[in-house]
Amino acid sequence: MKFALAVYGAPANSQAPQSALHFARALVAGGHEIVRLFFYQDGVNTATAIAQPPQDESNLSEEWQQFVQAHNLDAVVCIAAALRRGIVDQAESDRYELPGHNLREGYELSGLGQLLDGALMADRLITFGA
Amino acid sequence: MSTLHTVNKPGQAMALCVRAVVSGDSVLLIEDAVYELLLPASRLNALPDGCSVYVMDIDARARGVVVSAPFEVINYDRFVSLCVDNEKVLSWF
Repeated sequence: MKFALAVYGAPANSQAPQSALHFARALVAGGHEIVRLFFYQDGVNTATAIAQPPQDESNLSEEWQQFVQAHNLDAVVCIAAALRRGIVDQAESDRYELPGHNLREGYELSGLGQLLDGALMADRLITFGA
Repeated sequence: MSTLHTVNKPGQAMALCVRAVVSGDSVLLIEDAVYELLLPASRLNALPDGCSVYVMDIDARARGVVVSAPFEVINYDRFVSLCVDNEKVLSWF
């Protein structure tokens, strides 16, 4: 079965990215297909490359990226939510003349339409709220 | 057509969820929603007949919440199965 996942919470103040990762791993283990990951609202913080949680805690952003890359997933980060929170890729950094960029490899900045597209492509859309 | 309702916190999310559940639906408590089981007058008692309530195992254990019948403890593999078995999945948060 085809699944799309939406993540609305950030690693630092919500369990959403952790629950969503547990769920995504169970999906893959069960032979299901993940057709779209969509990080929205505070969930966009999952895709930052420069957050450093304490070393005795899990690094969810790192774990998510490894999962996305290992399974070659279509991982979309809401561009409007990301820009207002300082999550940018090289192109947006250049456009706004910012001092750097921090979107992890494997993720793509795009619009909210990709969430709708994911919902249409998938048999089930599962939302992990903040 | 049945619906799986996931709830991730007690309070308003839980209250709104209970209003939407109809007979035959399933409710899954994840994250802080497992605290709903500690409330003496849980809203879960107001669910219509024929509804199943599931509780995420790791979230209940992480919070020291003991789950007893009629509530059923499940893992993420079962969460996936519930998503397959219900035509719709609604998240309350």
